[in-house]
Amino acid sequence: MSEYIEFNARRDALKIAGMGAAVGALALLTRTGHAADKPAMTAQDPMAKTDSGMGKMAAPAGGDLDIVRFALTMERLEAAFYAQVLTAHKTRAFLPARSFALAQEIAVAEADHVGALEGVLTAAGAEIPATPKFQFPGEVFISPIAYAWFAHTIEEIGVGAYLGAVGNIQNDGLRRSAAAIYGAEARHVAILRTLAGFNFSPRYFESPLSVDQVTKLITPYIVA
Amino acid sequence: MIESPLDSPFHPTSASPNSALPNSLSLSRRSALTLGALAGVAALTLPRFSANALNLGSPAQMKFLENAMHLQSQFFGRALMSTKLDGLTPTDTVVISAIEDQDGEQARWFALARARGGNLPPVNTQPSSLTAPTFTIDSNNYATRDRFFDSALTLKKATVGAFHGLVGAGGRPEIVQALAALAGVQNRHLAMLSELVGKDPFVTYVEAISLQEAGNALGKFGFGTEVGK
Repeated sequence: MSEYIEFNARRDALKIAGMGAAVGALALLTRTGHAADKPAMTAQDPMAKTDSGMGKMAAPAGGDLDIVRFALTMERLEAAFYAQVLTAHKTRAFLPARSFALAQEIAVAEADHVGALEGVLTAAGAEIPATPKFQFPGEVFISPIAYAWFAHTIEEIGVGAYLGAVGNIQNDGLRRSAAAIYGAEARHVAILRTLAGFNFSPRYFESPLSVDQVTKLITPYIVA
Repeated sequence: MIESPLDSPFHPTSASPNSALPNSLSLSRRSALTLGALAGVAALTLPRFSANALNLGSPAQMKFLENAMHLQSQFFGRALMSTKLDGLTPTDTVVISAIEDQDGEQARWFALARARGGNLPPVNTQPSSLTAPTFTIDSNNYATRDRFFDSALTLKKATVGAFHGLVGAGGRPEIVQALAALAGVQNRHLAMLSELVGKDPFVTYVEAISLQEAGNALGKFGFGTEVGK
């Protein structure tokens, strides 16, 4: 296996990173319109509903779109990572069954997030940024420990990035959806941390990250 | 080091946490530890916020949230002491204990904010004592391991839903961020509780709900605090 598995993309992806947060989760933006239609606390697959509801949400604009663009970069990175993990696992079954099952599930979620974010930009009449090319350390496709460690780290970055921006989201629908997706990302982190041998929740609060911090943390994995 | 949201401003800065980011993408032990440390530093290196700039809402709302967290802390604490509830695994008890502690900390956070009239307290002003209400929790919730976790998930979903509702309601960015910071941890609790009983920790979607709806859900556990205005 090559040291890096690369995904196609173009170079200017990080240019969008000058703004909001890597809302590791804004993908469920699409759910916004459903809240009033359903009983409270409905337990269901959030991915099952991403194909509707978007039209019921007032189109985000201005700074909110900047946040969506940056979230898209983070989501694309996460989606690329899990896609590469699954590809690597096909050729060399390096993950334990539980880790693999969870990776499959997260991969689907992250890919869906990407699609939803792109959909929001399209609906708002905004241009969709080109997809960057990502590369990750080769060890994470060989060692289940390295995988778990890296996975929970990028998810933590996503959670922190989201938290850094959530207060600045102006669109109510977008913020509500962001809260739901942020929660989903926090749940990813908790389980991935246990796979890596860490406490699932080391503090009673999450910590925010700035755009600069997030950008610098993920830049090494964006190669073009 | 910032230990609590009382200390943290929830204002991310442009601090550069990654001056030593690894040049190579090879995940050597050193680079792995470096990245982890940088992520941690990024999360904890935060500026101070103006202690008088924030207001969480009415005293009644803060009391509601404070008591909701007390209820959870007591709910999980009693599980560890219940003579009826056997069958908990060692992992169960570790997780339950952690949740009990963190819910108690979140209750303390709201208590401090309430004591300051809604303004987030300054750094390092932990109260010497905290008076908590005692809730009458049906002992049937501890009848079996399955029953306990079923009730625990109900409780957590209500709490997470309430936090999401508050975040979605908007307001001052600092307040939204502070509530989201607490909500994230509640989501972690929810995931772990689901994982422990073999339920999918990821697919459970929790709808944002109002405090009134949350109060109704928590009422099953002896919660009777009014939401207030």
